[in-house]
This record gives sequence, C-alpha cells and structure tokens, in this order.
Amino acid sequence: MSDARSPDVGGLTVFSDPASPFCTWWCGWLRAQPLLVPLRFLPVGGPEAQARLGVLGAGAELVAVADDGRAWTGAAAFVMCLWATARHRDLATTVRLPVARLGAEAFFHALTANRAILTRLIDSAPAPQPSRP
Amino acid sequence: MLLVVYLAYGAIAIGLVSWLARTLYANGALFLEEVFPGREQLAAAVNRLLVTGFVMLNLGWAALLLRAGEPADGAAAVEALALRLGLLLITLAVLHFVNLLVLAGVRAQQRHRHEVPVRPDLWVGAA
Repeated sequence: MSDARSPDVGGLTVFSDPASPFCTWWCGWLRAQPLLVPLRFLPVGGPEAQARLGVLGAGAELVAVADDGRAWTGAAAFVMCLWATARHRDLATTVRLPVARLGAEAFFHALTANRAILTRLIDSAPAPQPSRP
Repeated sequence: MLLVVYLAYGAIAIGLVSWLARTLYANGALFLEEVFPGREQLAAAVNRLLVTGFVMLNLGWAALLLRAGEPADGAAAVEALALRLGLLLITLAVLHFVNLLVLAGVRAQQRHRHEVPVRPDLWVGAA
C-alpha cells in the first residue's frame, strides 16, 4: 500500500451525481482542462461505484478514487480534481495551509448548498468546450 | 543643535538602510534560488524587487520620522535621535522577519509540490 501523500495516483476516477446539472457542468469543465493526471468520470450510482465504494457511493456528492485505492470525498475530492489539472495544481497545493483548506471547504459547501441557484445559472450559460474533440 | 541631530540621523538612517539592503540582497539570493528552483532569473528579479521595495519603504519611513521639535539641550537631542533610530530599526526588523516568513512559507509549499495536497479520507479497493 503506497503512502497517503504519494503523488503516484495513476489515474483518478471521479464519481459524481449525473442527476445534478452542477456535477455535470463540473465534469465538463474538468474535461476541458489540460490534465496532469488522467481522469475518468463515472456516476455515483453505477455498478463500478457500488463495487468500489460500497455504501459510500450512494449518498456522496463527489468522490475521487486513485488507482491505488485512495479515496477523497466532498471538498477533498474537489481539491484533488483541481490538483489533477495543469493550470490549477498550484492553487490546489496551497490547501496544505489551514487557511486555504478552510477556504476550499467553505467554497465547496457554498457550491453544494446553492446547487439549485447555480444550476439555473449554468443552464443559461454556454457549456464549456472540450480542448480535444 | 537641531541641524546636527538631523544630519546625524540622516547619515545613520541612510547608512543602516543601505547596509541592511546589501546584506539582504547578498543572503537573499541563495534563499530565493531555493524558493524558485531552476528559475535563477526569476529569483534574481524577485530579490532585486524585494530590496528595492525595502529601501523605498525604509527611506520613506525614515523621512517621516525625521520631524522633531527643537531639542532643549544636548541630552534631549541625543534622546530624539535615539528614539527615531530605535523606531526605524524596529520597523526594519519587523519587516525583515515578515519577509522571511513569507519566503519560508513559499519554500515549504514548494517542497510539498510533488505530494498529494490532501490526505485521503479512506481507502477502497485498488482498480
């Protein structure tokens, strides 16, 4: 079993709720980013989520799972997604500082708590274009 | 009497600021090269900018501190001089340590750049 802090995640599997337009938008945004770590996107209710996450998969908003089995949920998963992108890795790295960690958690909870409002905003905005077809 | 105090203050303030700036510049170079590994030009530029800011801030502060009433005698003149130099030095010291702390923070961040930023919440089966 590798170290908890090891950067060798292989790839990250992002489990998100396909019924939530916000999650769909977030995954679309991630797909459009240049990535340092390959990402796979799967629904939280799907068979792989059930096989790998068990009961956790059912009620989770966002779960990121590394190939070696490390899993992050909620705000931590959100930070890990940012860490996987080339442009935002430095931002994600600042989360080691307690202040930034609190900021990231507050931001994530603000996002999930206001999903309905964000969904309306997203519906009226153009979808992000992937960099590669 | 006042003129002597002002001249002495001016000479000591400028001397101190330029000596400190040189010390910071010389020792900062090594430190900054470690903060920005492989980017020597950036490190040198940041070093120059930091020293420039340091000199501006401190000469400005020294100039602001200059204003003093006419001292009654020699003792009062020395006291006025000592008070201003003391204030100036303490300001310099505080700034210097804040600067070091910020750079040390940046350096600590850099050391952990090749690690995952958050600990996993749990372990599940490997893929």
